[in-house]
Amino acid sequence: MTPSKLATATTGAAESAREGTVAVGALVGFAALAMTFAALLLAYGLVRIQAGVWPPANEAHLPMSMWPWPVGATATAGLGSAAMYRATRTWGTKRASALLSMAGLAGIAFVLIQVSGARGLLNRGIRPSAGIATSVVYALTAFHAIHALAATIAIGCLLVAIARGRDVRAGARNAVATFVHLVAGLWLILCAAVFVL
Amino acid sequence: MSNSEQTSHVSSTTPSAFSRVFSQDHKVIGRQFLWLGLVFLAVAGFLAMLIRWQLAHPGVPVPVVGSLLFPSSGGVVGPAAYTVLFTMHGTIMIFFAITPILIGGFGNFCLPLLIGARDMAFPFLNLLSFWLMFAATGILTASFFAPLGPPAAGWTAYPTLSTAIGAPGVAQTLWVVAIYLNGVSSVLGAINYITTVIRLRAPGMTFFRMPLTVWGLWLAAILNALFVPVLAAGAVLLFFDRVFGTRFFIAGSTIKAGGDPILYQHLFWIFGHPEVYILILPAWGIVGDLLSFFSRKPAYGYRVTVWSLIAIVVLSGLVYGHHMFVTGLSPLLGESFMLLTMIISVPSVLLGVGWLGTLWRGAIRLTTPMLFALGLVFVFGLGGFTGLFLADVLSDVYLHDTFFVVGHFHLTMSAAVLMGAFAATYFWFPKMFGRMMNERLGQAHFVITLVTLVTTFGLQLVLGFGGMQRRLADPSVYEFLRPLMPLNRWVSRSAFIMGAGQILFIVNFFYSLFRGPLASANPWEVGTLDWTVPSPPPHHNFDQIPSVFVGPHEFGNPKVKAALGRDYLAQNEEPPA
Repeated sequence: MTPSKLATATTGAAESAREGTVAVGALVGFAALAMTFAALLLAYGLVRIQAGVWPPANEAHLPMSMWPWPVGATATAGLGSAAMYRATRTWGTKRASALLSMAGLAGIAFVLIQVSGARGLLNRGIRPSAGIATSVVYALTAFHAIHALAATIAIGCLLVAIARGRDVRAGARNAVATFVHLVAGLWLILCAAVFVL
Repeated sequence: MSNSEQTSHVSSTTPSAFSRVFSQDHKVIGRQFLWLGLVFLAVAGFLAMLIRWQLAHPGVPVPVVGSLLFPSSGGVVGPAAYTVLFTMHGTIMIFFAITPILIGGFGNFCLPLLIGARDMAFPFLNLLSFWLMFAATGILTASFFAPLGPPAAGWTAYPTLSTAIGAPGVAQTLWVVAIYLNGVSSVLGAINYITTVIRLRAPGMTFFRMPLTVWGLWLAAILNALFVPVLAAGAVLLFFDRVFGTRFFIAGSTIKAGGDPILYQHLFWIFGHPEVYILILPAWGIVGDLLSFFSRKPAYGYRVTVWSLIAIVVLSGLVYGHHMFVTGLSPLLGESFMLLTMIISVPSVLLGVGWLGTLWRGAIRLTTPMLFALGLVFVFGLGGFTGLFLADVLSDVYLHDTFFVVGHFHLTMSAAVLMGAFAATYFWFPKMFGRMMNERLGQAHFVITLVTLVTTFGLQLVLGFGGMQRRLADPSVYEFLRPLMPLNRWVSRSAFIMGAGQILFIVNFFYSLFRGPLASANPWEVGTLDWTVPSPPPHHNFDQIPSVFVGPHEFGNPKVKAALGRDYLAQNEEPPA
C-alpha cells in the first residue's frame, strides 16, 4: 500500500471509529432524555389513576375548538421527521439541503403551534392553575416544545455548516437526525396521552 | 474498541491562560471538579458544625461567628435558620461536594488513564459538564442571599414545603434550577464516562481486565444517565408549580382538583435510592483496587465482585419504595419493596467477602490510602448493617424520620464515601500534582476521622433509637427527649473534633502541593496504566496507546519476581514465559 493510500485508509478508519463513538454517546444521551419524559408520563399516569375520571369532576374538558392544536403539531412533527429522514438518506445533494430546510421550518412551525395553543388556552381563561388536567397540558407540551426548539436549532447548525461549505461528519448528522426523530416520537406519545386518551 | 480516532484531541502547543481555565483536557477538568468539590465540602462541613452546635446548645449563641451569621437573633441559630442549615448542608454535600469530588474529580482524572485512553470520548461535553456544575453552584450560592431567606425545604425538597405555598420567594426556585443544572452536568458526564469505557479502551483492555475503579465509575455513570433524569422531571414539575402555578404537587380540594404531594416523593426516590449507589459505587471500586494494591495480592473474587456491583446496580432501581413505607403505601407494595431491599444485602455481602478475602494473608502495607480503604470497609459495614432495620417495614415504621435514619445514611453516604474520597485523594495526589503527601499527617488524619465518624454517627443511631426525631431544632422542648441531651452534646463534641481534625488534611494537602517530595511515576508500585506514565501525566497521557496483557492486580507472581525483581506486573507488560 502506498503512503497516500495508507493515510487515506487511516483517516477513514478514524472517521468510522469517531462515528461509532458519537453513535454510542448519542444513544446514552437520548436514553437519558427518554427517561425524563418517561418520568413525566409516570407522574401524569399516577395523578390520572388517582383522579378516577379524567379530567377530574370539577375541571372543565379542553374545548373541542382546540383540535387544530394537537393535529397541527402532530402533522408538523411528522413532516419534520420525514424530511430529516430523507435529508440524511440523500446527504450531499442539493435535495438534501432543501429537505433539511423543510425539517427546520417544520420545527419552527411546531414550536409556534405549541405557543399559539398555549395562548389559545389562556385566551379562553384556562390557566395553568385551573386544575391538574390543565397543569398536565401546559407543563408537558411546554417541556416538549423546549426540546423541539433544541432540535430545530440543531438542524439550523447543520444548515449553517452546509452553507459555509463545511464537511458535516456522519456521526453528527446521524445524531441530529436521531434527536429529531426522538422528539417527534415523544410528541406522538405525549399527544396520545394528553389529548386523545 | 477504537483507538484510531484518539489522535484527534492531542495538542502540542502551549495552552494560554484562557485555554487552561476552559481546558478540554480531562486531567484539568478533573482537578477543577476536585477543587470545586473540596470548597463546597468545607462549606457543607461548616454548616454541619452549626447544626451540631444548635442541637447541643439550643438557644445559646454560636461562638465567634454567631453574631455575624445570625445577627437578628443575637447569634442564636433558631428554628428557621436551623431548617436552612440542614437543607443546605444536605444539598451541598450530596450534589455539590461528594458528586464533584469522586465522580467529577477522580472520575475525570483517572478514567482515561486507567483504560489507556488519551482523553474522554467527548472533551467539549466534559468542559460543558464542569461549567454547568459551576453555574449550578453559583445559583445555589445566590439562593443563600435571596429575599425571604434561603431554601428551607430539606435536601429532598418535599412539597408542600417546597411549593410556592410552603416556600414563597425566589430561593427555592433557585434551588430547583441549581439541581436541574447539576443534573444536566451529571448526565453529560455520564454520557462521556459510558462512551469512553465502551469505545476508547486500549487494545487488550477487556471488560474483565478493567480496574475495579473503572467498573465503579462506569456503573455509577449508567445509574446517573438513567435516574438523574427522573429527578430532573420532578424538578421540572416543581418549577412549573412554583413559577407558572400548575398544581402537580398541590393537593386538590372539594372545589378545585389538584395533584398529589406524594407524587413528588415517588419521582424523588426513584432517583434518590440509585443516587445512594451513584455516590458509593466509585468509592467501592476504588477500595476494591486499593485493598488489592496494598495487600500485594490479586483482588479476591474479582469477577464475583464485578457481578455483585452489577447486581446492586440492577436492584438499586427496584427498591425506592422503602423510603416511602409510611406514606400510605399499599401493604403488598411495602412487602415487595422490603423483600427487594433485603435482597440487595446478598451482593453487598459478596462485596465484603471479596474485600476480606483480598486482605487475608496479604503482605499488607498500611499506607494512608490503605488505612482509609480499610476505614471504608468498616464504616460501610456498620452503615449497611443498620440499613436492614430500615428495609424492614415493621422497624422502619418506628425508626422513620428519627436520628437512626440520619446515623444510617451518614455512615453509608457520608462516612463511607468520605473515606473513599480521602483514600482516593491520598492515593492519586502524587499522580495529580506530582508530589507525595505526608504519611504521618495522613495517618493522624485517618485516626481522628475514623474514630469521630463512628462516634458521631454511631451515637446518632442511639439517639434515633431513643426516639429523637430528625429536623428538630430544639429537642429539649420535649420532655421525653430531655434525657437524650447529654448524648446530643457528646455527638456534637465528636463532630467538632472531626471538623477540627480536617485541618490536618488541609495543612497536608496544601503543604504537599508546594513542598511535598517529588513523586516518581509509580510510588505505590502498582500495575494499572495510570502509574505507567509520569507524575503528573503529560497532556496526551500516553506517547503510544498501550497494549494490555494482564488484569489490574497482578501481584505475587514468582515468575515476575524472578524476571523483573519486583512483586507486580504492569498491565502493559507481557507476563514472563
